[in-house]
Amino acid sequence: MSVEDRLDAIEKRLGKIEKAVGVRRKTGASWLKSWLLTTDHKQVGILYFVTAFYFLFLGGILALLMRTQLASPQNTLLTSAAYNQAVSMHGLIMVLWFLSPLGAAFANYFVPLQIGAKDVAFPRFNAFSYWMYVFGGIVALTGFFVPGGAASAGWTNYAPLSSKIFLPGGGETLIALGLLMLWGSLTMGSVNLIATILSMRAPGMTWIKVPTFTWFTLVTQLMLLWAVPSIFSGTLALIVDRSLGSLFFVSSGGSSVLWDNMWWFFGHPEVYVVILPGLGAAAEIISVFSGRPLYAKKAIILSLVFGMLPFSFAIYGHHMFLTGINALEREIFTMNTEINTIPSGMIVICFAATMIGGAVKFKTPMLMALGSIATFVIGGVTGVFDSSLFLDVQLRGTYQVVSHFHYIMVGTAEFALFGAIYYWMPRWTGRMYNEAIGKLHFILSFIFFNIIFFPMTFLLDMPRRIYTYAPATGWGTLNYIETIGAWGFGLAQILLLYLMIEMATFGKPAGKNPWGVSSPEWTGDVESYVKNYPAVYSTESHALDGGASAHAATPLNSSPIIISAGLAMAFIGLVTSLPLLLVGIVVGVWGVAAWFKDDLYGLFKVPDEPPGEKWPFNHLSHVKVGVWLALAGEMILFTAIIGSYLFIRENVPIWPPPVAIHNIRLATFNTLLLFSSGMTAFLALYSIRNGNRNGFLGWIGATFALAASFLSIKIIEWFQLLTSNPPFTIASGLPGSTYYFMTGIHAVHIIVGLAFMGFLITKGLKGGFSKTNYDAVTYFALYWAFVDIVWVFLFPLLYLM
Amino acid sequence: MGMITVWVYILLATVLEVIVSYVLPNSWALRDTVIGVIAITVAAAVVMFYMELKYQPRWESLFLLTTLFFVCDLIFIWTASLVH
Repeated sequence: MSVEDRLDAIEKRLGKIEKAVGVRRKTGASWLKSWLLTTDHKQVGILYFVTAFYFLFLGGILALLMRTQLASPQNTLLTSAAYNQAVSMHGLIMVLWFLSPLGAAFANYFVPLQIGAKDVAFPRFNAFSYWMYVFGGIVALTGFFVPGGAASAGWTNYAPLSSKIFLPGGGETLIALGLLMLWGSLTMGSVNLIATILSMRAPGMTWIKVPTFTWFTLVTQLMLLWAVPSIFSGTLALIVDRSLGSLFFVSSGGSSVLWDNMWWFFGHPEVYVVILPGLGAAAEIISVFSGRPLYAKKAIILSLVFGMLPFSFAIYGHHMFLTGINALEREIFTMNTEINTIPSGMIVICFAATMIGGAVKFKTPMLMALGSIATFVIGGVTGVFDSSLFLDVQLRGTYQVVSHFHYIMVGTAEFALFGAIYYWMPRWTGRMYNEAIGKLHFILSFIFFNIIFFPMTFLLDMPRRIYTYAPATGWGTLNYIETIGAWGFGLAQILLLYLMIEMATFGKPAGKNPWGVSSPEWTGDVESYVKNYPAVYSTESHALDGGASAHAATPLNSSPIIISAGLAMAFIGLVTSLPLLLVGIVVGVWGVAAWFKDDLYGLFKVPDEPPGEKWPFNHLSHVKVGVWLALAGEMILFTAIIGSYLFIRENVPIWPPPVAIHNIRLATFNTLLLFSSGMTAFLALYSIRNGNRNGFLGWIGATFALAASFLSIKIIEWFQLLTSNPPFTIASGLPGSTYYFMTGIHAVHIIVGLAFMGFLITKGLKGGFSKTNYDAVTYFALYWAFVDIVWVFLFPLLYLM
Repeated sequence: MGMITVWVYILLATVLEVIVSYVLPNSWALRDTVIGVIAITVAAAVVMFYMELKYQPRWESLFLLTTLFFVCDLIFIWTASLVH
């Protein structure tokens, strides 16, 4: 057989699998191109799904190494350095690169189908989110190959351990850079999904009728939008500390407590982000396999939106009880944490109540969902002990905490997501799994999971993150049992792998709607779902053969993968190799230029959405909703940055008066220039709105000139400070670190604005804007006004106070 | 209110902040408070007029909601800064 024949045979086989998972290849595109350049939500969902399992494999290997090392006292499988890397990377990979993205996989695939949308609001950004996630993971994993090894400051990267003083190797910088890409991915993904759910629901899909999984996804994404910018700024500050010598996390004014605040403001909501998609899937599964609509769906929604969502941010300090925060703060966080058990409990009770009186079928998805709820209760109860500021003095940093969070992360999240796989994968592939093997997978996983983590609740005096222990401690027996459990759990997942392959290839046909569910992602019929709501089952099914979608596939686009790859190369090059850094920058800029070119010539067209439900944003397009959401994320980013600055000022009693360092007159003049550019940007919008093309070009040109002047004067200011005597640099204490960090981030936003203006001027000169077509100008004006607002606060903070 | 008036207000308020920073003493955080209040009015003017929030339906609710988020964030920051 010739090479060409072999390639044809492979293509045919891949085509069958593609058809099975419900994607239509863009006409004429090769298999590889169609997957690498896709912007279709179903393909992106599948990409997230497959990639998440690669990370599960890596994280799982690290877990088995750790457990084997701890199986017996004074074991020598891993050195302390290797163990620290294993424990840190295991945590990061599992939480951020496996669990969260697995939820995102289902959200990407099913949320548009559940609400009757053709795709997500921003398909290119959707693909961009995925590739940033992948390449961010690659950047993070590169740490294993640099001197010093991978990150080893724990998954929390606590300062000052994560500083260059204690971890001079490149691994910690690489994890920070990889995380930065991941935060970008999560932010884009959250804006995308929230805008989709808010503005792209089909007619009749009012809020109460929105399927439960979509509701849980909405709350998850709102949490991410609010939480990620905090850690984005913290991670950036860490990178600047490690690369440029700033002092955020290595000085007494900032240091460990500042990092703790920034990390856990994100970190606690993140644990809800991890469990909510799975719980949303569990809600659907429990309803379907009980044959009853979800009990008190309104109560569940209210619990999520007014309970879990705000409280997840108000309880993060329970991770900081031993950091020296004052007693009042500890009391508030204890109280809030215990209040937060109410919405969680409400959700569990509603799930249980759904089953009462129902014809419950204990199929594998149901078993997984119930297993998830059971472990949620156990994990929640152990969490109540940890939430007490008194008990936490004893429990903090022990294996009791490890047991608690694994009951939540693995027990609740992972089991629920496994349930989602069994429930929904037949929808993707049109093939069923073997029920007996599925049940065996559940039984073995559940038993071995409890063998690993239940004994840990009794290891109250065994500290976390130790790589070995003495025989006299008596911890050996329980650790040995836990290690057996770990290997059993790991090997049991081979059954899941087998079943997933079965569902993808040789399994029995599942039929159009194997569970007979009325939900739109199964039937493809939003109208009937809305009309018959809250019916659970449907005998009607317009479902989609083998999962193939009736929705038109969105166009291919290369910019997402190119920009992500360029950024990854640049980040790896920043730590390892200057040529790679330069190549990465060139590749990244090429990708951005390609994106701009597509927009300039309107090359990326997605199908228009028909009118549908948009309340409460009836008058806004989904694009404008997305822009406002992105600005909300930016607002939170700068609130975190300004908040950190205020935190530092509060803790540093002696701060040099700004007039002693800065040229206040120059800064004031520069500020007046920037605020004037806000006015000219508005005038540019006003002109094009009235059809005045020349006026638009004139005012946008003026805005460009004013912004460029602001940036130039800013650079002159920095130069003057750097060459003054003594030089005022980023390493000149916290005043220098905070000044350059804050003005630097603002300057990046100015540069982005200048690039945006370049695009608008180019498009304007080509006659691309008119009285009826000026959306991009509106979005720019909003962005530019926001940049002004940030400076409204930065100017007095840095120059006047 | 004309946009020119808004623009002039923003510029004058900025100059006023600078004057206040030189003139007022900071006992009882007076100077910082006055500057902060002026800055907030400037930000509000930008949001209402440059971002055209004033012309959105239900702008009062949006404004209140944004202010509420901002205040909540400030409360978190304040509690975070309570060390020892």
